[in-house]
Amino acid sequence: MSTDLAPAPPRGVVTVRTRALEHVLRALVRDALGGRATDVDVRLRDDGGRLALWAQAPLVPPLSSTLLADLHRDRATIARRFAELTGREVSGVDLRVTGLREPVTAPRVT
Amino acid sequence: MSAPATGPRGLDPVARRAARRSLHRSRSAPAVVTLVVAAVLAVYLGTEAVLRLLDRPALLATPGALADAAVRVLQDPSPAVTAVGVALVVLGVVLLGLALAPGHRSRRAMAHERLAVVVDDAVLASALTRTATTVAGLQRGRAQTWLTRRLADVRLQPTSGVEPPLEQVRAAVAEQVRITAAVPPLRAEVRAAARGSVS
Repeated sequence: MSTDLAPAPPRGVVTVRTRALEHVLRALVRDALGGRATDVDVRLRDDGGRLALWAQAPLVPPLSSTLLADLHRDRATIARRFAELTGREVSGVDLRVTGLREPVTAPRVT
Repeated sequence: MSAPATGPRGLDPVARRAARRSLHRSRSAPAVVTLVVAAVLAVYLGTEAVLRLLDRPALLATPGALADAAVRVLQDPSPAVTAVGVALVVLGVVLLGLALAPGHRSRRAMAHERLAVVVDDAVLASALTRTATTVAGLQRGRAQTWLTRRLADVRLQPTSGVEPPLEQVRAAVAEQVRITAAVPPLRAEVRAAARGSVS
């Protein structure tokens, strides 16, 4: 009889810190709404085992259709891209627009 | 002398007796204290009785005076006497409890052919926690295991948005419980908390 205690799966875990997830969300919101990443405020919380995203940022025109239609499309894009990039299941995205900004001309990093 | 082995069933008799010593609390300390107190009282009463027979002066009081005092005190119980009585009753209950309760320690025996193997519950619980977190790919602190007599209850705190591989964790934990072969047999339960942790 063997008395080995554990089967031997490869050791080690991968931990993605909240900060890393926040950076991803900030970049996605910045890409969707335009403007600078530093203007974007993000929060993550658990929602019954899934991840709920929250972000607020100023909006930079131009819009492709109505404001609301644009923002709902942005929410969908953010949820989908976030799930793709992080592998987390997203329960919802709350977006809050805090104002309108002039377009910035600085080159984008991502 | 071959006393019937009263240790965990499922072990061979010799191992059973050996395991029993580790699995149950020893009663020798309370027994020794109780017997020493009883012996001192008996020696004192015996001394007083002998002194009385020899017509020598008593150490504290003659046996007759002691008996009279006891009767007098019981006929007119003051609060102090009641308190002493209550204390004696409590002491008696405690001693009875020590004598009759199984006195389990938080350890358990493992079935083994010749050896008496005894494992601490804390060790077993942390081994199960370790297995669960390793298989689930979580940090060590994200699972907790509670052990009762017959149940190992493993709780995982999953990562928000990541479905914990409960079936795999269940299989791994069950396998480890099976290998451990604790006596009495353990049943493993693995659950995930409803709320996850963001990172």
